[in-house]
Amino acid sequence: MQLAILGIIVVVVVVFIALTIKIVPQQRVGVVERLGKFNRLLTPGLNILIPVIDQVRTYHDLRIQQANVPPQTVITKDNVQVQIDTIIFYQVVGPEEATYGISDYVYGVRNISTATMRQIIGKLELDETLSGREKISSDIRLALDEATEKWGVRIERVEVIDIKPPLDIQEAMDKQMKAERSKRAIVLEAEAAKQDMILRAEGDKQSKILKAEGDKEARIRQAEGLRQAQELEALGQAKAIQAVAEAEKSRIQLISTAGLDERVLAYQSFDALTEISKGAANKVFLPSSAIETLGTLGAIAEVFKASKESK
Amino acid sequence: MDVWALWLIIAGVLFVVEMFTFTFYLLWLSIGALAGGVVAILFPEAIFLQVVVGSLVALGLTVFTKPLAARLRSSRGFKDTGTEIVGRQGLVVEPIVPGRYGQVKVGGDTWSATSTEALGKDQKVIVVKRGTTIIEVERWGDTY
Repeated sequence: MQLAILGIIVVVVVVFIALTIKIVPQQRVGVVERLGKFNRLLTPGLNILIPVIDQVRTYHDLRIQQANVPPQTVITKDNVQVQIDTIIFYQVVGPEEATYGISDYVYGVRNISTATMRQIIGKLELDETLSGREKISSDIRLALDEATEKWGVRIERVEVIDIKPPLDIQEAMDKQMKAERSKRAIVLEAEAAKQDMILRAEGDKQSKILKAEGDKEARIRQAEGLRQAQELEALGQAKAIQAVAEAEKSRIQLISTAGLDERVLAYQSFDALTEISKGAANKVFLPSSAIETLGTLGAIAEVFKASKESK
Repeated sequence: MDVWALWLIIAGVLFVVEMFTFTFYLLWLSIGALAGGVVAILFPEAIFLQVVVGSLVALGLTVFTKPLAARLRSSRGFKDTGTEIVGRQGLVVEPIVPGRYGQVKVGGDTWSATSTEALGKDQKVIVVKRGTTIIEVERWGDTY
């Protein structure tokens, strides 16, 4: 009997102490209710509770939690079904709200994220979806923050891990990419050919021009040379003529100063006769006295002339 | 076996378990058991007295835990980045229009923010209040 009382005392003391002292580890927080009403938060460290009256309703982990959302089929604005795989990072920042504001915040966070995701992707076209992850996460943040303000849960970020378009669309995208690339290649080739032709023509043109220019220059030079030569020749001729005329003039002068008499004349005519006699066909007989006769005849003629003039 | 030795064994076991689990109340129970053992040396026959004294010591120690807890509470602990956001500087990422939420980047985290005045993009702001997920900001500096 005594042993039973002792046992009860020990059990009561053990339970009492166990209920009184609560050690809460870091980054966890407990919600204390005093007789069913919210009283305070149990912060990390040593905590004293009044047994029976105080009760810890739940503990919350304040670290950032991750929640995988199973792949969701979402329809984009241009009616393409894509499978989207997301991961949510969230953190309990308001333990009171997380306890009293929502029954199951993990479930809530998942659902609100997927719903918001659907809504946002439904406004985007497929191409925007694939490239605009930044915009998606920014939009999601705004929509989620408004919803989760009352939940005491802050959704840190919603990351899109994977966006999978349907297989045939993926193939079409592949084809489009290939076509775009080959288009670029063809354009580049054409451009190269064009440039090639232009360069060649330009070269041809330049070479022709240069040739013609050379020809022209050569001809001009030639003509110039000819002109100069002719000029020089003419000048030379003129000079020569002048020199000849001068010489004749001086000869005549010299002759006249030397006194041109009959004997010189006779000698000259005789000279001329010898010249004539050198001709092959003619036969000329020259009596030396004939000259004398001629001279006398000339004198008689002179006499007749003089008499006629006196009349 | 003597009764006090039994008390000592109980005290030792409780102490060892306490060291492994660190729950604190086992330490008080262990000290209570030790007190019971001391009584057992003096009055080996009075088992009832031993149990009552041990229990009272344990309860007394528990009551005195409160000032100890208060003292430990003031010591430094880990501070979460989210909890001390007030007073920090941020940069507006999405313009804030009164009545609608914008976005502010504070130390690598993006927060939805409200403000009483319209704030443009890249405006430096200071956090004045924090709700659960939405912070209230004010213009900081004149870097328009």
